[in-house]
Amino acid sequence: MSHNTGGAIIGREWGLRGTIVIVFALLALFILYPIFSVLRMSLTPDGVFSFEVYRSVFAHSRYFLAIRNSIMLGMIVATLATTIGFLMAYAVERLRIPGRQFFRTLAILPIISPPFMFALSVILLFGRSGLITRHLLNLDVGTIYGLKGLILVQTINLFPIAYMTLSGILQGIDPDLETCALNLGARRTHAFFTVTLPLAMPGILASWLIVFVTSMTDFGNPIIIGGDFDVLSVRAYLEFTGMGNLPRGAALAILLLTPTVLFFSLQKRIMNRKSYQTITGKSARRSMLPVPAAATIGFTAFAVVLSVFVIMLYGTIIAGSFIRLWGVDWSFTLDHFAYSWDVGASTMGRTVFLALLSTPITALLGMIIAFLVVRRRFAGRHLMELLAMLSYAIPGTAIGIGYVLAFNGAPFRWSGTAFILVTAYVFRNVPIGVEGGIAALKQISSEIEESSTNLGANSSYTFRTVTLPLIRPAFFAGATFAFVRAMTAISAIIFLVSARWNHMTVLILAQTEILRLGAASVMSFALIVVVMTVIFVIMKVTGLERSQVFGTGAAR
Amino acid sequence: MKRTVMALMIVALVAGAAFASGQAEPQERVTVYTTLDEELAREVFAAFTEDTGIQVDWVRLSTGEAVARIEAERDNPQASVWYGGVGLGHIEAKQKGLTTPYESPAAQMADQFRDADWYWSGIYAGPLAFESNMNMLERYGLDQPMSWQDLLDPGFEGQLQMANPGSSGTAYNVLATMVQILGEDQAFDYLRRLDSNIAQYTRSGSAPGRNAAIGEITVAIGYAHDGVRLISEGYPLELSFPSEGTGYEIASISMIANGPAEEQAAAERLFDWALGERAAALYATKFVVPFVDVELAPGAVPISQVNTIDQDDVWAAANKERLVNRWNEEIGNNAITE
Repeated sequence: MSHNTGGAIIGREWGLRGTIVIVFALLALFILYPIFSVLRMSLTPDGVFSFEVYRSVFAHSRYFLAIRNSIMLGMIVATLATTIGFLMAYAVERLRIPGRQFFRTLAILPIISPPFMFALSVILLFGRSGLITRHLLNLDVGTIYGLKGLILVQTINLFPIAYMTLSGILQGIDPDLETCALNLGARRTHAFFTVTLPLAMPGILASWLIVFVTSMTDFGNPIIIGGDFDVLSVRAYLEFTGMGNLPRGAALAILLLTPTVLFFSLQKRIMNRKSYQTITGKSARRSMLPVPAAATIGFTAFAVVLSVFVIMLYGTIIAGSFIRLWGVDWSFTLDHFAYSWDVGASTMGRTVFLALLSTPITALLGMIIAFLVVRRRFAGRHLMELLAMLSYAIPGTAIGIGYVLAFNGAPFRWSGTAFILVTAYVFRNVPIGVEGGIAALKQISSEIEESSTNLGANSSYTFRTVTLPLIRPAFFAGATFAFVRAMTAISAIIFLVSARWNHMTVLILAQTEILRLGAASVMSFALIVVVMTVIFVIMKVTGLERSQVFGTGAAR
Repeated sequence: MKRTVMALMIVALVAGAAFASGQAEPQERVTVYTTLDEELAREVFAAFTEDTGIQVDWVRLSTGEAVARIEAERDNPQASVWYGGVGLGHIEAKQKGLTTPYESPAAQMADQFRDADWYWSGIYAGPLAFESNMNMLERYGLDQPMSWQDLLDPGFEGQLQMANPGSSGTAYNVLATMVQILGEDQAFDYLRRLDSNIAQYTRSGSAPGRNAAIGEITVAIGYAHDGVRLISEGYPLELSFPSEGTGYEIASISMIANGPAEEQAAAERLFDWALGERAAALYATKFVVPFVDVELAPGAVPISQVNTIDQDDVWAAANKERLVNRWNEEIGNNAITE
């Protein structure tokens, strides 16, 4: 990273120094300290330091199995989702199949959906009383709960992440290279395997890693459709809240955190190297070779089948909202809406309120950190970036447990308050803003800001009047994603919700657990509608394009 | 920049509106952890608010979750009352020092249905029952089980479900019931033979009933009231009670130690109300049997007509660790558990 060129050296700007100290203090308090609390709990089960908890975790086959299962699931899903994501990206970006805009939109949809929505509709469609398995085909295929169901649900849920990473990569590979290979006599497939694929390889690897990490840290899907297939995130939650074994829950969270942080930093390294970028500077218009009809037809068919499946899953949720008792009584009803309104209206209000409250804070903090890291030179600059990005990699389960442990007693008594939820949103989502802000700032010459400084403005004034307006798109993209993620959060906040401050996703989970699938469908549907409405309003008001909003930060 | 300001203003406005709509606050509030069935909880708290004007903020937690949550918040308790949940959980909470005695003037249950030192008070009893999916029974040509012995029928292989006694209060109730009916060694012999018919031991006590409702399995062992809710929703379930006698839970209420001070008065009113007639009438609609004389719902089986065992919860609580460990060693470790 070379932001040294634009970095203004800090002189006597006390306001700036103060900001740096405050940002560090916040990151330490809300990211490092909770994780430290988890570690401390797992290593001092009875107040004395010991590895006993870890020893017992590895001695019991049940926990060992959960570790193995999480890794196995992650590997399978990462491979499938990356393959599908690559095929989609290749079809849309390189082969330019018809209906590209539609497929692009479709690939974004799963990202803005509640975390377990697909699990719900897969149960409705393929469960023992499922529409397709039981009522259309009358199959007794065995249970959908477990590994099978999880692979299906997570692949659909996570392929968009791979798609977004890889479509960016594919856009960055100059099609002329492939053309050259063809001109030199290579066959199309040969050119693909020897030119395009190797160039895309780092991106494929990066996308595999990020899907792997996301799958491992996923909580919403496995708790609903995992059945007897035990995974770490769910097991940690159950030990911690269900069985009251705090040290063991903490130890499992640490075991979950270790590989995800490792893999995530590996992914960042790959993405930062960028040696595979073959489009440089302002290049001439790319020539696109005509694509053989067979390839277009094949890839289009693939994209259509995938889209139909995804749309069917959404359709199921909508249908489920109107059906009295799925699998038993198929009559039409509006009762689920009445019930959901009764049970969920105030929770929905509070969920939206807290998400909206946290959104500008998250985006602003993200921009401030990005500004400091890119434009100012101070000791610990890289440390600040690292800390701010760290919470990307920390599983929600670990953060949730950490917040419970860290902020439950003196001097930080925040459990049960709205404050703890807002801080959880802000610090879990701040990396989106930071990443977007850094990317935006690097594209803007620092000379503009330097002029402001030369004319006598201090950092704060420059940031407000020059930098912030310049990175406005990044600010709103960060804000949008912070909002979406706050609305669809579950793994961390399930530990933090209280009687007064419940969250919609936790409520939906509770409905699913008592088999009120109709109400769960209504609430999931409502959540999606709210999220889409807010995104729409943000886009209208700010005048941003969809690509600007979803271009950055979409992958996680 | 204008647009930025405008967008921020809209965000603030919407947030303010959402906040205002969620915040039309009556003066008095009480925070409650409840293990009542969610639907019952809603009815109960709505009725309480109607009677007293006191607003209830509540979260539904399972028995295990409630104990864990109260324990985690021990230094800074967030709730005043734990309402509902298996009696054994309340005994555990008392032993851990998480609850505080409260002698309610409204208490009228028999002495065996409350703690001797008033740490917890029973609100209703719920018997264990078999929940059978009638469609599945028909499909496999099986008869509805009417006794513990019937469950050993080889035809039920892979068709039964109960929860894991290690994680579920319901399932430990089953284990303790069998020990009290048959004696310890014979009970374990029975459970070992039962094991060959059990498809899976679930984590939560109400999961088997749900799985029976949607036809994942045929017969579930669980609390009758869990089954009743599913039946009332239209699932093809029927209940039966074992002829040899069955155990039951004493759902209880406890005052959480050092709960929010400003809520104390409201908490005591809720506690008293929970032991009163209006609450009892609501419990009775869910097939459970309150300790206050009220008319039972049509179709509900009064516990007097169910052959219940002479249950000793203090013994059950004292022997829990040992019995669960033995179950794990002899059965659980080789079994599939969710």
